Amino acid sequence: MMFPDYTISMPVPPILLGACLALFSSLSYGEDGPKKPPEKPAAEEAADPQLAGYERDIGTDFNPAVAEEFLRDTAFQERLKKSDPAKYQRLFKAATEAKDMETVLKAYDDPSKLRLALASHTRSQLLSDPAKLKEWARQNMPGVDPAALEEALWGWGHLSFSQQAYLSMKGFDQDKWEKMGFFERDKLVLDWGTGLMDGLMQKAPKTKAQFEEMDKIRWEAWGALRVDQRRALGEYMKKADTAVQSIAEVEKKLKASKDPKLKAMLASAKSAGSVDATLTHLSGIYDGLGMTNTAVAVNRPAHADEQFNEGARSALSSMFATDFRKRLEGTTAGDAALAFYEKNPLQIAVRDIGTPLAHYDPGTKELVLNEKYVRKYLQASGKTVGDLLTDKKVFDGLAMEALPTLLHESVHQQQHAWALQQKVPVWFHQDMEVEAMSMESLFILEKARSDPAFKKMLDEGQARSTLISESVALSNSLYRDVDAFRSMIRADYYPALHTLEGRSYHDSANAETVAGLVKAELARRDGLSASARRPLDEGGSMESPWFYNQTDPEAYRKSLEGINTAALRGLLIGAQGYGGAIPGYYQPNLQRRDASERLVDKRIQEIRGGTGGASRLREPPLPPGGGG
Amino acid sequence: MRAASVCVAAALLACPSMGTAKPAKEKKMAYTSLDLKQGLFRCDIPAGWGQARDEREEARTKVQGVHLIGPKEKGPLAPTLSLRYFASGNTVAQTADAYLKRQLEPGLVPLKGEKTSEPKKASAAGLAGFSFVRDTFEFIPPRSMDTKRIPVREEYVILERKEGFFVLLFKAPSASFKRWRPAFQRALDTFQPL
Repeated sequence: MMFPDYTISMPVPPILLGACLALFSSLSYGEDGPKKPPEKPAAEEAADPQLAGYERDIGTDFNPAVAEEFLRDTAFQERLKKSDPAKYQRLFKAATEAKDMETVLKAYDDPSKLRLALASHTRSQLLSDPAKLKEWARQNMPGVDPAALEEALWGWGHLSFSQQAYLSMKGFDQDKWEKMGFFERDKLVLDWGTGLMDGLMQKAPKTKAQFEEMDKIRWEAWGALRVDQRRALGEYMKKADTAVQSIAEVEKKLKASKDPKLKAMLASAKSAGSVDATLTHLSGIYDGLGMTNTAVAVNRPAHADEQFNEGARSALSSMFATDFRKRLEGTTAGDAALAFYEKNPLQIAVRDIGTPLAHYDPGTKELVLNEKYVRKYLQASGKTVGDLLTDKKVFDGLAMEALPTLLHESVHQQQHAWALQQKVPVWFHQDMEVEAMSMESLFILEKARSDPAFKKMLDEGQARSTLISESVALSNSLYRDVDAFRSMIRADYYPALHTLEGRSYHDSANAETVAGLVKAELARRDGLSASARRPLDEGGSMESPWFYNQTDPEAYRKSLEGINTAALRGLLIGAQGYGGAIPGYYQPNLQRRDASERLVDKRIQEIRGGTGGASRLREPPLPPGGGG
Repeated sequence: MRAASVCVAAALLACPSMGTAKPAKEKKMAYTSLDLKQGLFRCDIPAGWGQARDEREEARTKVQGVHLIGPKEKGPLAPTLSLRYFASGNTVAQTADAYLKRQLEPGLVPLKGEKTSEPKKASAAGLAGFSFVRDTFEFIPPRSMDTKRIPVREEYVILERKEGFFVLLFKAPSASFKRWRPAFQRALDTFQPL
């Protein structure tokens, strides 16, 4: 699904930061950081109405329409960069913030999703004061519903009764609440939701009524939870639901039974203290009845012969790597991947990676499939790891099912290689996911047309796998309306990821924070006595901590106090260089996004056989990168 | 305001509330008038429902209108009402027929359990068109190994005009579709092209 270790709090993975720093030597600012902008004579500035307009509309008003125009006006940007680099950086930063916030506010009609997006905007000037954001939206985006925005911002009147009760217990009332910033509010409500979630995940319901009570709490907590929490809770609730439904089914089946062993197992299932234990007992009952309940089989803890060891992982990885190439040919994304793997090694690994289905690991350059996903496949089909490694039919079923997911991760690998080839840092942003999801869904459409076995797998697999159903639904959605598909991917699938503009803006803001605080720390040291200063010049940590979208710059400032002075100077140069280089990193990403959209539009148009949607096809499609 | 009606005999089977006596719940729902010059229509919409528009995107796509979102009840999904005008030269579909055809195609791989009704002739405010109902699913949380399939129902009314066409879409979790559908009926009954 995404690169590992990428979180909102760490948008520049260290490896990439290293790569960025390595690029600094080629930047035009030199070792002293950005040169002081040459003062432009007032008369000349006044004579540049375009600049005056941009300064007013973007620098002051954060007008998103003008911001987009500016971000695409590379000729003007080049001129301004030459004449006044500092002003250019300021305008660029403001433009990315305005454009990003527009994308965010328009992508989410559901306040709980909008909130997830806002929660990742820790450096946003517009979000620093909820009232400021509301006013900006009123001025610039009249289509945004003020009530929905207020709800997303955790307006007091939109809090549930239990949320208000919880906050009251913590000493907050409406007056206090309305004076608080969004992030402070969000943290408190997140704590509330996390408490509910933790409580739910301790429960082991046995009856429909007990489950329904849990379900009610689940949906109440849902809007306060993060994406990973929602996934984890979803997984737990699915197990709980399966346990409750199966107890009811087994009770009916055993009503007339005289088998004391099975009845004892049912009693154990009904008194088990955890959902996993309940499912284990239920699984034993179904075995005893000579029946299969697929839901129980998939959700119970794995048996020993369904678990992987290192040898099995390694063998499966090799099988995947050999198989994957064979299945790609004849599709847009598949052919791009094949071309990529002509020049780059293909490595596929299977290991436990938590809740995502899969990810691309840039450290090992592996497409990693979640072991849990493979286990579920085995459990659903009543097979073992041994069967998977020795029975071609069992492996083929998995390989076919996992194909779109691996292709998706391959797109991320190609994006990664493309960024390095472009000499830009790998910015993992929402648009990268939109591209990967579009290519995955396009792949499903193309592959289903050309490969009857794949189409059969999609047809038949839906009965056993919700994931396959979801993939089919997504590909149909892409086919019906490409723009709606993209909006859905942003809002429903990756609400917490920054857009390209959001990523640019946040990295600019972070670099500015680093530079400002490091400068202040260096100035403080200049004022120290020689004896106080010596340990910092000659000793101290050589680490160069980075400011990763934290909400508290003071904690970062404190972390600088123990850093070696020379290391701090290096950090300052790095921060200034990185901040100055961001517009140059943005443009290739923008071009890639445009090219990718054109390519998908064109292919969908071809699949539809020429009906509708032609107006976006102004330019010939470009390959979506991947020449590694 | 000119009254309008949707004449969809067969759709009555799929949507029992359509054209029948208004259920008691509707009396509790308050309405407000929406006058959308850019979308070239006016109609009544439920008061208090969230409204979303994106005028810049509308300028690009030439699809103008409003997306309304109702209150969530039990579960993560809310009823939604989308009222849009597809102007000539829009980026989605050039004609009402093309739009309808694309929506009705089963897809290269049919989604198991998804059912789309046959299109029926419909009319509102003197405009002729079609309607159909689709029973499908939302996947919550998306892209998870433990995704829950939540049944949802979509009801489309597509109305042709001399240039372009309107698409009125009501969508809600199947479990609460009937409860909220009067809001759609009211929008249809009061729909008036400008």
